[in-house]
Amino acid sequence: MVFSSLTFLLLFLPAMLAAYFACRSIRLRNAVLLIGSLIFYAWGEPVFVLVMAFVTLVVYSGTLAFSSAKKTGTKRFLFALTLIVSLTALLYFKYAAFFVNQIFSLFGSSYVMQAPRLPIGISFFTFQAISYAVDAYRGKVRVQKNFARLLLYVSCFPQLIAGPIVQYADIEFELAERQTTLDDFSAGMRRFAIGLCKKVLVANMLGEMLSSMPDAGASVSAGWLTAIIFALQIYFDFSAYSDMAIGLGRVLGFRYQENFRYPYITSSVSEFWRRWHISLGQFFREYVYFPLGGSRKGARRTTLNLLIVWSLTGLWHGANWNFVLWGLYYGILIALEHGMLRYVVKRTPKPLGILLTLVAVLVGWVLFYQTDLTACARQLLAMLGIARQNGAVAFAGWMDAQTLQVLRTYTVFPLVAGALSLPILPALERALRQRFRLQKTAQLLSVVLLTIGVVLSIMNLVSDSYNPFLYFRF
Amino acid sequence: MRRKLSFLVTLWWVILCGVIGICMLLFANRTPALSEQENRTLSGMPRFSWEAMKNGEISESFESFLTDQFFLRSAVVDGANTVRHLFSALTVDELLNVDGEEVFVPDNQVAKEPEAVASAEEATQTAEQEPTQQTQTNAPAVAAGDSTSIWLNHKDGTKTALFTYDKTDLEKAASVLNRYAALLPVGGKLHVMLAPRAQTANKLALHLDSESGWTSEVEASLQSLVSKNVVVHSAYDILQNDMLGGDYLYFRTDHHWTARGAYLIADSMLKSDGYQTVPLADYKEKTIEGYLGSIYLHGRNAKLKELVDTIEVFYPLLPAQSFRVSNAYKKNELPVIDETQKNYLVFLGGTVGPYRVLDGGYHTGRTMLMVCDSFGNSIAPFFLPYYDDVYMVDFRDEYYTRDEARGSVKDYVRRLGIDDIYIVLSESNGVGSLYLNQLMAMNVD
Repeated sequence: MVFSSLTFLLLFLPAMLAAYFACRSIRLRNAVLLIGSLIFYAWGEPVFVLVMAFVTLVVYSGTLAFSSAKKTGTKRFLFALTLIVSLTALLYFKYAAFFVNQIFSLFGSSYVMQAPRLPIGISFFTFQAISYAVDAYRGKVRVQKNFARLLLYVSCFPQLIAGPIVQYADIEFELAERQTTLDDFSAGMRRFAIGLCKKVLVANMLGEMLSSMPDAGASVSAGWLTAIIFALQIYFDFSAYSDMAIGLGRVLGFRYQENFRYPYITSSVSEFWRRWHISLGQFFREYVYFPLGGSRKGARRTTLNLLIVWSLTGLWHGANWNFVLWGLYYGILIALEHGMLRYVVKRTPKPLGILLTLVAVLVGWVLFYQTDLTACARQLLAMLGIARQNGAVAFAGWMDAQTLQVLRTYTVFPLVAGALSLPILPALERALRQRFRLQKTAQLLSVVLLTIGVVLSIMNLVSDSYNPFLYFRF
Repeated sequence: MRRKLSFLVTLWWVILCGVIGICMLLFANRTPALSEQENRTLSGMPRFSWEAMKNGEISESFESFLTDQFFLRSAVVDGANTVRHLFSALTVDELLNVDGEEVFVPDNQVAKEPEAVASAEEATQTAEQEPTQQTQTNAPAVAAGDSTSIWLNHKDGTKTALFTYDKTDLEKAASVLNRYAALLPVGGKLHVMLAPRAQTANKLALHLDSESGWTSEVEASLQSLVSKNVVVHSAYDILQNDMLGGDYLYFRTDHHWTARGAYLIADSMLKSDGYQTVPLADYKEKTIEGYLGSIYLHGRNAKLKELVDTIEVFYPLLPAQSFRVSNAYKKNELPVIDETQKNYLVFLGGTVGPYRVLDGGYHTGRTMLMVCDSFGNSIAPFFLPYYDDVYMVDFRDEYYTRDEARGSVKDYVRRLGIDDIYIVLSESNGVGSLYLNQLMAMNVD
């Protein structure tokens, strides 16, 4: 089930909240939340509930086993075994076909392994389970002896299928004791509504726009516009889901960390990644980069560590070479920013830094968007004005008819979306509240706007079947 | 106080959503229903089964049920589309040019020749004609070279190619038409009408201030390639004068011709065969107001509502009957004018396959077969006074299978004693199309 569906909005959410708040004790609330989360997950693909339960069971029994082991060697062995077994489902469902096919093709075999259907959100819940096991091994959190409570942590529906990746340490206390105040409820629902509007009214429309674009190599403007629209679409799509997850979490008494902080106004690539998918960055930093030695073992080792981490980050997004390339691209950029270009980055004027970062990020999105490497090269060349016609190099042309048609259809919409991706509205609201002391007006305005937004979102959901989540299967 | 207000508002959202959800489950239509507006079947409540649950189908079909059966769906969809199109700078003309249904148009259709070779004088002459003036006989010459075009003539003396066809396209079409003509008995004729869609016709009909007419070289080129018993009619010649006179021959928000346009075509084809035809004024008529057709429904852009259409329906002169036909036998009865419909389905109740027959109560001793797409539905009743039976077939996959037909066209022509065949197709299914080149060809024998 996805949040931006009528099944969720009209049936699941009201029923879930009614049942949840009808219970007074935390045990009952947890039970309701666990059952609801399992129904939420099973509604789309019930068989895969078993995969999620398997991963949870592995880390549950594994942590119990290594925490009770007396010898360090045994403890370490059991910990490693726990990690390996808990990763098997992810490796099988997401990567087995990719790697097997690469190996076979290396040996010239024509055998092609069909990729199995990917359980929704497997990358998210596997990483959450691993974060718990590692933290338990490090003694950062207490070993959870209640399987249902651990399963609730892994399967809790707000963050289950598209994150953010919630670390166990962050909600360990809230799993046992939490409250929802009136403020939590209204702020949480408000955040959910913002996310719903971002997804349905902005991201989906950008998706429509992108699907009506011509081949990205058709002209200079086709190349750039495709990259820009995709950059906006993926931001609104994914950050919308995070908004909805954070909002629903707050309604249910959980405080999840922010996952996006306006990433398109950053003046360096490193900063971009501190603002984009923050929970994934944190995960790789804490569980991969630091254990590899981080930046403490010299420049070469730091560069190597960065490349390893970013290759894995790329692979996490999908089992395809373009994702690996995308990850490596960021690894190299960040390594350069930390090494050779450190002083250049520091001394570059901020507006220029923002512009350069934006261009670097757009090039990154081309690598991400074009799963076919030839198409990727065609788009990048078109962005530089180069086209290949019958083997010869030619000018790609500034504008093609179809791109012009798309621009005429959507006119200023990309600009509006671009403006909304900057922290303009929160600044406006802050100004109304603080500078002009129009607290009431700001509140009333936001309630009215969001009510209109929710109504329009439902209308769009009724009228439109175009409703995919980009990060749904990562 | 403000906190409480915020809480109450958000709580109200949740309660409202829940109430709508419960009402949907209790009161929404649970059975699949045909949507005339959307030209598709709206989903009903899915049946819950373990199999459907297991493979995840249930979630998709249940979501479809909720969206399809949502209260006041049509108004909600219209409202959403109005908001969606707020950003659009597309003009009404551009919106009118979208495809209203599945179409196949040859790739080279967009060839444009602003400085075309047409004599400016000729175009100016046409532009200066009074609307009531008789149609100038164009007698288009067979185009030189390997392609022929249909031209839109501008008042400034230039012209634009609406469609351009290669010689090979025409040869392919001619060979298929000749195979059909060869099925007919001595004296039988094959009439061919490849009609423009509204998207093309309205480039002239809605721009009489800047356009002076149209010219088609295609029919003459095709005529030169077909057998002697084939007559290729030009819709462009037949309709031009009335169109320049402002007659309502094509819908604006739908891709079909109006019944008035269809009458002019039928009348011209019948007269070419020597029939004395019944004037349109003799037919009893009704009108259906407020029709928004396939072009509007494609994007539901509110700008097109300004061009809302009226459907004119002309009743057969004598009580007529229609039946579905399979294996050359009449099966269940079908409507001739479907009084329950408020859209183009009013004509024959829409297409029903594999074959159908219209019996207008006349005894002329002659029988015809019309190979057509949906353009045939509004023209067929005008053939009733001249034939005992008007048989129709539409080879598109949605309506026709050979298994259901249980016989080729050759079998039907022989068993039903067909005297004349009429090919009535829109430009989408004409020269160079899958319909003419493949579907028609594969069903001859």
